[in-house]
Amino acid sequence: MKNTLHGENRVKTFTLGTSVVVVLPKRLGVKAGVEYSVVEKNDTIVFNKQKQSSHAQVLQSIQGFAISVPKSAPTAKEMDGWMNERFDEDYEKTFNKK
Amino acid sequence: MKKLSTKNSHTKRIYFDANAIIPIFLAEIQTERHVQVMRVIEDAMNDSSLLFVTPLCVDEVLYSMFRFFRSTNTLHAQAIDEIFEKLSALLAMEFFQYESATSSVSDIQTIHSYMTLYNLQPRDAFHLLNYKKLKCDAFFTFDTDFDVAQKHGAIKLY
Repeated sequence: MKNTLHGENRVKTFTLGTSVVVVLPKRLGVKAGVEYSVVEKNDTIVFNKQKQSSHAQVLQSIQGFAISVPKSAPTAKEMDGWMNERFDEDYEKTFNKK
Repeated sequence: MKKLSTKNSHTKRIYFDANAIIPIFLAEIQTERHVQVMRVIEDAMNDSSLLFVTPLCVDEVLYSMFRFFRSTNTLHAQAIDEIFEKLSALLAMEFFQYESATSSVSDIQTIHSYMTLYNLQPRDAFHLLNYKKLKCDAFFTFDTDFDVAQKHGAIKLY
């Protein structure tokens, strides 16, 4: 079994025959996805990649990745700017950026 | 039901920028982007495309999310754990391909040329380099800084 988080024991993946199995804590609320069936065990959800489920279920499971955010959250445009803040005006001028 | 990609050489390959991953986590406040991202994912499932995500992209997602938590006073261990867990689970899905392009010293000069030719910052030039090395067919981003590269035919925006 391989832990995908170093030093943690939260997300585990392992191969079982021809299947890849992903184990997640139940509290994440993630549901079945493409080629994943779900077996719940105590505080974990086991995703078995061998069996298929519908695209709609996959999209629904991805919706489950959304986190709760406060009303004061920055906009997408503000967040876009964060990546560029390391480079100042001198850099922009040097490369003739507009 | 249509089976997902078998990851062969005929599969359409779409490079995902970090700003295409973040709306999945911030669906509440990046609604429009979230809708577009989900549409691309659905299209990928329908035509068995692969969505390429690189370590550079993951770094940007984590940086942005940590900063997001700081800016909203919600930065705590549980929030960080949640993002790591969800990002791992997301990229483990069949249609995502988490992959690092092979690097060489000559890449540095290539990065320089991309910066000067297409007005890109180093990080974006690395994205373009990865896009080319991973032989992707399209680049999905909300960043308009790649428009010049597309105008010169160096990249095909999704």
